[in-house]
Amino acid sequence: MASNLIFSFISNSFKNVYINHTDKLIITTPSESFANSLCINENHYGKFQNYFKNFIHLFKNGYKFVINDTSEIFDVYYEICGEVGRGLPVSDEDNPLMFFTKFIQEYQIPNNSFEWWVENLDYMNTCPEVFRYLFKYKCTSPTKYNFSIIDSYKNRRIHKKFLNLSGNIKNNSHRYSLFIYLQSHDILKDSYYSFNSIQNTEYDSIHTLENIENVGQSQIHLENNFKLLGIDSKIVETSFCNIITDIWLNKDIRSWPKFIYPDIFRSINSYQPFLFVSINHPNYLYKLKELGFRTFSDFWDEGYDNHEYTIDRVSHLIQVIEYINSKTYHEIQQMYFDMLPILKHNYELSSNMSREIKDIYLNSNLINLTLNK
Amino acid sequence: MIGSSYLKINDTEKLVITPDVGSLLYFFFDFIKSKERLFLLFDEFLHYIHNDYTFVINNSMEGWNFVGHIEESLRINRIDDNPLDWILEYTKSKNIPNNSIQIYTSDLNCKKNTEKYSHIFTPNIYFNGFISPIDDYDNLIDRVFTKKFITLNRRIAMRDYRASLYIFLKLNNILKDSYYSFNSNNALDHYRVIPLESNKLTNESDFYNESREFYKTSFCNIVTETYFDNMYHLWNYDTMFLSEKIFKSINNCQPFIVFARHGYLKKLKELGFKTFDKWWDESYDDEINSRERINKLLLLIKSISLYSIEELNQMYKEMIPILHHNLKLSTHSEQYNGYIRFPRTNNEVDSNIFKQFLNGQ
Repeated sequence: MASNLIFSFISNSFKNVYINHTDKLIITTPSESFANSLCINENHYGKFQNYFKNFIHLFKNGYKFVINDTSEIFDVYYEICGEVGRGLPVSDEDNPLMFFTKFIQEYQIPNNSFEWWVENLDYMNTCPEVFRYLFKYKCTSPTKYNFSIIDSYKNRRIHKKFLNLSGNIKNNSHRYSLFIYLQSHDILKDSYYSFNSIQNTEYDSIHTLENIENVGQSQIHLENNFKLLGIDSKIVETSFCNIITDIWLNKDIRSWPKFIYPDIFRSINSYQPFLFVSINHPNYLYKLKELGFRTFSDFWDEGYDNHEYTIDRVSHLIQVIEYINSKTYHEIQQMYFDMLPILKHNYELSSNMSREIKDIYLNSNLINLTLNK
Repeated sequence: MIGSSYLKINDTEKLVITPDVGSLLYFFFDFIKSKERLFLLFDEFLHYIHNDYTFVINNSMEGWNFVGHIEESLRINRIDDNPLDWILEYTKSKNIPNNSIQIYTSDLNCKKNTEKYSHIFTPNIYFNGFISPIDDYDNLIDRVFTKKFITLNRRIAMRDYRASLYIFLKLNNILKDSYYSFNSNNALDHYRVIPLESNKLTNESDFYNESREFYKTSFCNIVTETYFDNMYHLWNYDTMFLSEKIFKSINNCQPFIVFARHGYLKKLKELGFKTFDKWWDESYDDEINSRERINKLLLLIKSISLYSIEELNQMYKEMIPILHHNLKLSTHSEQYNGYIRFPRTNNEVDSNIFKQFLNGQ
């Protein structure tokens, strides 16, 4: 089965690429997972070869070809070599990743002529050593949220203590339980919140963000080829802390615990502190710190993130929420101002991450390739 | 899974009853497999049907919306042939009464939910027979409580209301006043496994066998029924399923608060049972909106938790007539206002066809 693997980009995904002469990059659009779009065909290396022969002169002049596969969370190597969910092993000869090595040797181009950008923090551990040279971690999630409100932070006036978006409740028992608790303890009155607003279930209760008609969290704006998921800026400008809950995904997707949940950047990019609880995995805040971000342990107990079991993380998180809720709005306002150095640091780090990626594209020319079928 | 080739016979009510088939999907698609094989089974018992017996496919362990469930499965698997139609075809081809083959279910709303197949579905009260009456029913007044609540939550998957309940009890410091289990079958391994204390009920076979002392020494049973809302399984709408959970409360002479579909208490009353609105607000049962219903339930639990053990002991004494009434109805009645109790049977007959199918033929 595996002998017929080929990248679908030969005929589809890689039709449009950007060329950045400053950074000497040929880069694909940040599209949905390329690995996920593997298809079955014959003469696979032949097509690979025909496609990349277009760039030989650039490779020889130090250009790199970048597959920007950062918009999905999957474990690229596992998807390619495990054939997406079927878990079938692939021999070295049939492994599409070997094509890169073969191509480099055959055309005598530099060893670093290809880069495959992934957003999997753990790619170094999941990918066999022989292929690791190909993959690079890039955190592009910050680019998915873009707010034009950053100058407002100095004068921000808090009217609600929390922002709690629970649009997708199905399979997310941590999110549901947390919401139900906030409801039963009258904390919602001090919150902006949504509940089941994406309505992917027949559940009989829906609450959309107040006064936010048609600007729910699921709305997607497209700008410069980046997805920006936005909510009304007034919501983030006037609420103190974003309570973020990730969504459940199949645990068999091995890279999942190694992915920074993008909604965290909704907070970071809007100068908002956040609480975060994952349904499947602890120690997300630790991962964020590894990336250089700062969190809020000077202001509240972040031990909630360390518990092994979901139920313990949610319970502990609720205690933190109750602690914050016990503060007056005056105290919260002061706490917010005290946090500004952290929020500023995080924002700038996130912006730099975004800028690096965005600049590459903004300084590039879009090339449409006529491909040999 | 079907575990036996023996069918039960009730000569008084003239019934031939299969072993519980577990799931109709399993029964039709994995065990029977084809119309021809189903007809072979019916043929084996056709002489009973000719003698006015009813052939019962027993699926009383479940309260699903079976028509919805089967149709969903047919759609997903792109199968046109609905096995419920095979039954209609058989009765027609043999010129026997169209209700001479019945599917017994615990969905008390099945007559409404099964549409054109409603004449082959029979709702019945099933689980009351699984739990024997508590042995201190003549001496309930002597009960002394050490806990305020008992709540058993073996499964968490697709039952988010149970996770919510656990967190609520924990953070409101009510767990210390409760016997409880949570995720004890470990279907969700990212949740902690919490078996009922001193009673490692992690085995499916221990389903009905926790120590009766837990019931005798706790005041109120927080029953978390199998179905609370429609968040999962879109096909499973408008069912009314009385599982073993409510009868653990009734047959152990405990008052109950029930996480279930709205109208559950109303249905219990319709069956003849009495509930506890004299002592607390049961308006949660009227709340159609599930988010509001769970909120009312949690606040009710909190309000009861504020009573002292002594006050609850006193309240319990006042409830004893109702508890006796419910126990008697559960364990002695054969009829529940139009709904039948699952028939008692004495005789068995070994089915050659069942045996063949069980042997993989």
